[in-house]
Amino acid sequence: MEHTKHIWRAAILLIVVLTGVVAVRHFMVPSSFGEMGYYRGDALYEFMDKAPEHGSQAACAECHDDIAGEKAAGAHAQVQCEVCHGTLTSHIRDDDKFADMAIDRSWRLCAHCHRRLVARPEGMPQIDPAEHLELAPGEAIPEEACLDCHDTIHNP
Amino acid sequence: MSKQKPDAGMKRRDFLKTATQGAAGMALVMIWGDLSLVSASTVTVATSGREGYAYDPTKHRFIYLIDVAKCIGCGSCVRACERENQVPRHFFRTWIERYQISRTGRTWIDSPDGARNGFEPTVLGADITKAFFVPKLCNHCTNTPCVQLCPVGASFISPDGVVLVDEKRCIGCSYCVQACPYGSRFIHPDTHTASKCTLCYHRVTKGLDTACVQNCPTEARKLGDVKVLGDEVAEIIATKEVHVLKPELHTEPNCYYSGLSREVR
Amino acid sequence: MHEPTTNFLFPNDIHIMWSLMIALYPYITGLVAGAFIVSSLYHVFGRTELKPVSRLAMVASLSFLAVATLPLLVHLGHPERALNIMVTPHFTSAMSAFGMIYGLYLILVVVEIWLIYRTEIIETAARSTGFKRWLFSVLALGVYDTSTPAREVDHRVVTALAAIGIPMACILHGYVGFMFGSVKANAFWSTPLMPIIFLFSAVTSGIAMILVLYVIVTKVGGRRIAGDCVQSLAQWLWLFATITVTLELLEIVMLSYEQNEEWLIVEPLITDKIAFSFIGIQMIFGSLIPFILLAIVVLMRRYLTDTLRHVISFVAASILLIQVFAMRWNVVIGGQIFSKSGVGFRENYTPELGGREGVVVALVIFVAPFVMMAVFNRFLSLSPPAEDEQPGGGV
Repeated sequence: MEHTKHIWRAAILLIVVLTGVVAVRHFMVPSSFGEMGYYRGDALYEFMDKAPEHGSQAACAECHDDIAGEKAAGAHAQVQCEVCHGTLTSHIRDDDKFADMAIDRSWRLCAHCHRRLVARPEGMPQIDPAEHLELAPGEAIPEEACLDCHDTIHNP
Repeated sequence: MSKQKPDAGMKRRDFLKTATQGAAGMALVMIWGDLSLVSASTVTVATSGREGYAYDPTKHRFIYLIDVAKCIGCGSCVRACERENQVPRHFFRTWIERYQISRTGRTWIDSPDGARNGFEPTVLGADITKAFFVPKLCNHCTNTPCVQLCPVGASFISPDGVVLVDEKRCIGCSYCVQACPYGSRFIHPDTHTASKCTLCYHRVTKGLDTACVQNCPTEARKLGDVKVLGDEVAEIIATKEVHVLKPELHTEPNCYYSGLSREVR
Repeated sequence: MHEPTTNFLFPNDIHIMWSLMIALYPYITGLVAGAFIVSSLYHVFGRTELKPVSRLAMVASLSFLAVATLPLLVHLGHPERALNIMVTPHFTSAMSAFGMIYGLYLILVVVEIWLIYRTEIIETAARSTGFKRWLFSVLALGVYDTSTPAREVDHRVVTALAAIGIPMACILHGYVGFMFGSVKANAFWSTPLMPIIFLFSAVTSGIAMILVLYVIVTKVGGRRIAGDCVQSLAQWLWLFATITVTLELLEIVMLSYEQNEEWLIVEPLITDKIAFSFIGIQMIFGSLIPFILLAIVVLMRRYLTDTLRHVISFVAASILLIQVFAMRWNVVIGGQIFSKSGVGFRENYTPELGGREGVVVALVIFVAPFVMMAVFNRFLSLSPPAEDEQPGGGV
């Protein structure tokens, strides 16, 4: 067609640019993409490779078998050691102790489960701290109040 | 104005024609190859896991069961999740909601800091006749809107039914956060990528329970696997009355509840 | 008996994700689409009274298109990964359409403008020296054919592009509306009407912007305003604005009438939480007043002097520009200040002044296209050439 030279030039320029874009894009797709679905297959395995922070009661029992035995016989048998004491990895690294386990003696820790709430099921042992300790109105709850009486906390 | 010799013009034109056709051909091949990748979209295509890994994701399918009647709202699960997954403060991969309902149907709902430190008693000035705790987490839906809406393939469903986010691919657009009807997602303040419950994928693929399931003192939370014969949770879901959150949205959650009252949001 | 539930937000819902930038983005793409439609009304539908604004509209469309990605880039958690949207687009997501559509539409607009200005580019190359001559020669792609048949070819290709560009402009803005409308989790966004509302609202803003720009540019240039042009723009503006507001109201009326669960959270939202910006700015100030003003201009033309018509049209268009932004704001921000629980509101959002997603950055992004147009005008005039009436004339 006459007088269309500029159109052809523009079209060719466009095709070259677009082809370049498509080519560059093709090489930017990560290699494991599409392996298992429309995502980077490596991502799935990166999740798998992360190390757990929590151990289990059995892991604690490996060293603390006396406490473990005591606990297994009592009402707190179902409660994981780590619920009150923090994660295994905050205490053990490479099978060796590197820091002390956290021991929280505050009444607030016990209150997480045992403070009376309307929404708690009936069968759950729950108390109102002020009532239970026979405190005067406005009197503060002593920090380690629970352990004063319930000193064998692993087997209460 | 054109000063080009006819011969040179013809040769140049022929060359350009051929080059253009060649380039177009190459482009088409590349586009075709990539479009077949695109058709994978939300449907997983994997039929087996990777070589050299003991765990094969295609041989498992996780489900989760929460027994509302057993939850005491202690928050151990929230704290355990925070420690296991380094969850940032004031953002939640799991949380507990407390419902207190009066005789007339007036409802008070609260979740103080996600119930990270449990709950405190409240004085509501009404006769509370019904009250319970509802733990919540990502429902790992089968028909999930969050994966559908992710523009870059960063949010995905694993072959074993876990909805995950590829932190290296996520551009932080927050579309998935908008899409989740359950409020399970957030943008991590440090990585600036979408973040949420991963069903402790790093634990469940090693045969362990999730941190929340393991640390629940009353067994209110349970993890199951429908591809394991005789799985306790699969049995309950198949035989007993269970509910899911917002069933009308047809997201097909894999997190089931027993004892879910109508007031639960 | 329905007893209320206390204000409760899901714990993760206390954070707002989409900010001022995400209200600005659809506003800008709306202007892009709307300005393009104005230009296409001339090129495709032969509305010759719009010739004075045809070039202005095209260049406005391109200028806003040039900055359209900025609000998004500024908002992303990882802007350096923004290309992922083109590398691995997930086509089930409306947002993934952005990469392809933006790119293709950008090419279309650039080519169309190039063809429109080709004659002037060649003339500028011929009479310039040095770097400017080289630059304009490159822009002419080394072809200096300004003969009538060549210009006829240009004209036909421009018409074709302007026609193809209409659905493309619609998709460029329509996908944004689809993005919001398809989020079933959000009671305020989820409606099939959303893409249509966004689209009509976009065209409204585009026409309004061109009207305002035309009046300003003409006055500043000391020229006479083409009365037929402004009148035509005002008519089209009235039509599109009316349809837009009808759709916006329809959505609310439908929710209210059906009394479904969404209404329980949308009603307090629009009557209380965002009452000022929704009822006050978007509806009364932004819609009712321009409706009346434009009705006067359109229906009572013969009773008004030219100047009065132009002033009223200008004022109505300016107010509509505010209305459209208010609509974007109300949708984006309004849709996020309630929780997915459906029973809770967080405090209202005020954008920061400085900062990455703040008011200053928004203003810079919004003002930039006008600066670009002013620069463009220095090299290639935004006003069409004087009528020379060659067959197949100028474009």
